[in-house]
Amino acid sequence: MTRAIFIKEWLKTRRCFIICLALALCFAAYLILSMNRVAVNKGVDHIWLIMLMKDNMFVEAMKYLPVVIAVALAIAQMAPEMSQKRLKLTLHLPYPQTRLVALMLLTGVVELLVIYCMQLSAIAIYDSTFLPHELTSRVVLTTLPWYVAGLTAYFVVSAICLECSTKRRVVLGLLGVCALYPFFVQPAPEAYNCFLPWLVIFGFATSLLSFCSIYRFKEGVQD
Amino acid sequence: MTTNDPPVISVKNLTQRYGKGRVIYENLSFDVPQGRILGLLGKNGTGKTTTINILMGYLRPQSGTCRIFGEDITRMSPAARARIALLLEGHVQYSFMTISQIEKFYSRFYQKWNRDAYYGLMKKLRVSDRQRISTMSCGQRSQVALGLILAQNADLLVLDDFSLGLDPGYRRLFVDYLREFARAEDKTVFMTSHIIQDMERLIDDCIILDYGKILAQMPVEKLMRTFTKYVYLSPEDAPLPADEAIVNPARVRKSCEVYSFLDADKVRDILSAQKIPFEDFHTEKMSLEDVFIGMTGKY
Amino acid sequence: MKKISTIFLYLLATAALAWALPWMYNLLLPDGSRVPYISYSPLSGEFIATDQGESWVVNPDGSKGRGVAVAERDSLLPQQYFVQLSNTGRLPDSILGREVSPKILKNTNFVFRSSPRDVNKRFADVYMIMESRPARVDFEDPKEVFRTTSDGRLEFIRIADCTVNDDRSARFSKVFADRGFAFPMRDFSANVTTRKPFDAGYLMIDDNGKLYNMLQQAGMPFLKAIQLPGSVKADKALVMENPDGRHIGFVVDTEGTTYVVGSEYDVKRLDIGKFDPRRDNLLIMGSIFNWIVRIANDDQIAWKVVDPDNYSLVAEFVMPQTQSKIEQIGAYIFPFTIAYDSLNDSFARLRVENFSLSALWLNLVLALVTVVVMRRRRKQPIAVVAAAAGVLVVGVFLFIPLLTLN
Repeated sequence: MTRAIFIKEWLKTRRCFIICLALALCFAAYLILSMNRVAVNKGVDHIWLIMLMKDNMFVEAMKYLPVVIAVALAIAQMAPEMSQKRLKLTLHLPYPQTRLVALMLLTGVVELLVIYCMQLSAIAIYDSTFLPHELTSRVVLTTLPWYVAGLTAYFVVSAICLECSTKRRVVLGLLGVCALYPFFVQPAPEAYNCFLPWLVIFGFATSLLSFCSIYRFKEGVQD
Repeated sequence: MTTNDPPVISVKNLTQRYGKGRVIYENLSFDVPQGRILGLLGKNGTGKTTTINILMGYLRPQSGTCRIFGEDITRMSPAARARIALLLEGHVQYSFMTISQIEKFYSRFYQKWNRDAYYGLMKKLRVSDRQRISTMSCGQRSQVALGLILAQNADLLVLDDFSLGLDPGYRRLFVDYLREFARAEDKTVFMTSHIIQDMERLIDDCIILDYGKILAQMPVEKLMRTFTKYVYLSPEDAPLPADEAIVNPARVRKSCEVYSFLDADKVRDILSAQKIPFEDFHTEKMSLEDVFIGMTGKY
Repeated sequence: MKKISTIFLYLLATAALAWALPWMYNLLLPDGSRVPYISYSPLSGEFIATDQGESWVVNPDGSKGRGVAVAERDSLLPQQYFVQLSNTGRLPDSILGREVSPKILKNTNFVFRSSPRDVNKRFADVYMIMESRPARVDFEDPKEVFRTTSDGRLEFIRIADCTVNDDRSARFSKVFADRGFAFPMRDFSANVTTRKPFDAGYLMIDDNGKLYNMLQQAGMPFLKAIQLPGSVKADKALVMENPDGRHIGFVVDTEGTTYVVGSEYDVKRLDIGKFDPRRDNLLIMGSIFNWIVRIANDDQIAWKVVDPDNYSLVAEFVMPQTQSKIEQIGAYIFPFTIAYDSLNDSFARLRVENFSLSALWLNLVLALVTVVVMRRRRKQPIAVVAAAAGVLVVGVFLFIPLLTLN
């Protein structure tokens, strides 16, 4: 049954997943080519200088991409459930409902992690060809909050999609903005090193919002 | 089944309102015994889908209790859900799946899954196994939904407005398959439809809902036997009878019609008591649809 | 799960409002408080404030003293307005016995800043190092960086191919070992840029609180242990490279006392009282007449004038940072606020701050309203008590979700 649920979620999201993966890799390629252009035109030492003196990690352009990908994936996965209230079919499956919703969310998280890992690996592998590990890890640590923001956005948008009341959707949207704000408040590299573990816990805790929406759906809440 | 067997569906004192306002129904109670087919009839907006939502646990009733297979519907176990086949209004299914994907998907959840029943029906559709449900016509989708219900081989079938959007051929096909299946396998069915003529061929018992109240709750055979349409001629200036036992009196020129559970003599007595002149007083045979309209009115 | 998810929803809404409401409050109601620009006249010995084109003498109690016309202000502050004075032929040849000219004043004036935001940040674990004695006149961009290793060595990495320069690493490591530098490095400061008059290299503080100056001269290591007075333990170093080349920086000890480090490695106490680079914003406007040191933190702004020769205190003026009316009213509404960043560091973290007991009165009223509303909604007694207790503590931030998320 678990496998069937994973397959169902995969069938819903596979197109979006492939598009998002391609987008993420294209962005990684763009960042790599941009750095390569600087390295060819101005020398590798210019990249080092900018990284160390200007705190520019050459990844600023992808700051909001993980959130955009997460929002797209959450909509692709959850919107079909709410279209024509198809969620009734899902919740009617002879499977514990909490576990069922958790598995749905887990599928999305796994897909996101695959996209994020591939993108980050591409950037990190390229960086490590001409940067010391200290700077490569600095790049990775600078981007990690954005990926955690992506996971949080995925959970919040899933909850919004699964919510049956428009008013509550607006409330969840506003809460989502507030929940994502701390991930983008500090632009300095590695500013989140100490905060990141807490943000990871917080990000995963936002998955509880989807369960709130499911319970409200089961109670038949409407505007 | 014996009379001591617990009902498959047991609803007690169900009351539901739209928000805090209009009453949908108050103190609705009914049982659906094993092997019976119960039709919930009513005009649009009388609460048919609401009742299905409550029974399936997608709406918390304002008061009252509902049990299916003895379990409180608000805490229904996966095992109990496995015994219920659900057809959503509009034959909604996972339209992003293909014919074969959806069969494979559901087959993992139901132990009594009957693959042949599903593919037997699909063969008639002449569609490819790899065709996505979203690309099918409404009629074809209804057959997919029906096929899945048949394959699930559930003990209770809950069907919400199965006839919605179907042309007469597909409606007939759906009804025939369902009736055959339910009778042969001794299945219990709880269904709604706004096309009453389909129900007549199918249901054993019915509940007729009107806005805010239940008009009738009885076996269809009894309803057809006891609810009668009386027609008579009366001068155009004569009033129509006003009595609780007479429903929806209407007139076209001199021709009047009234509906009642009372027998002909008692209706005549009422007309006489109210000094309404009448002649050519007789009954007319009714279909279930006529009964429904007679009971609920044309508006 | 239903209870847990519902509680989380309320917690999230409370936290979101604890951030959003004070933010919106401050956005909609700017407090309008401004701190004037304050300087010190070496001629009159008075603090002179300037704001929106108006200048006045600051009385010792901080009140507004006599007004100062523009021409008078220029004359009173020759270290700042020497261009204007020179253009109008009012700049004398000497002031207070010191020879002055626009060129002298321009070359000796300096501005030095230190901000907690630049101090409290995560630095990269590799450090750029310049050649202090370049073969040509101008400085060149660094060609190598170094890292410190866990076994107490310096490892130089060539930027061009990201390989370790073993020779240089060995030479520098040996010098550090010979000079007794105790790893790990507690603090460092350097100003790696080609646009500077000279290279003071790195000021480094070792694990024992000893101060060192490290330079790369013709590719060779130079490491000088700088003698600090008495038993002073260095805590924070700040490099300063002014055109006159008199100083190489400052060092702040563990007690918050600041010392000036001269180019001859002479260390003298800067009489500005306590200074914490991790908390205080420092601005030094130096001239041949005086150094005007502005130290600002959340509690106060202090202007300290020190003698540029012996660094003794000449005059001081302290302005406490008081709450504006808007802030005072806010303290009656918000029992606390949530922020994720700060002007005092470059870290992101949860900051629950601005606790206010004044908001308890409003909290109490809101808690009573909560009880009435929830009883009307026929909530369970335990839920009513929990909600009222929550509102009593976090006030309006929970009250709004309780009212709207029912």
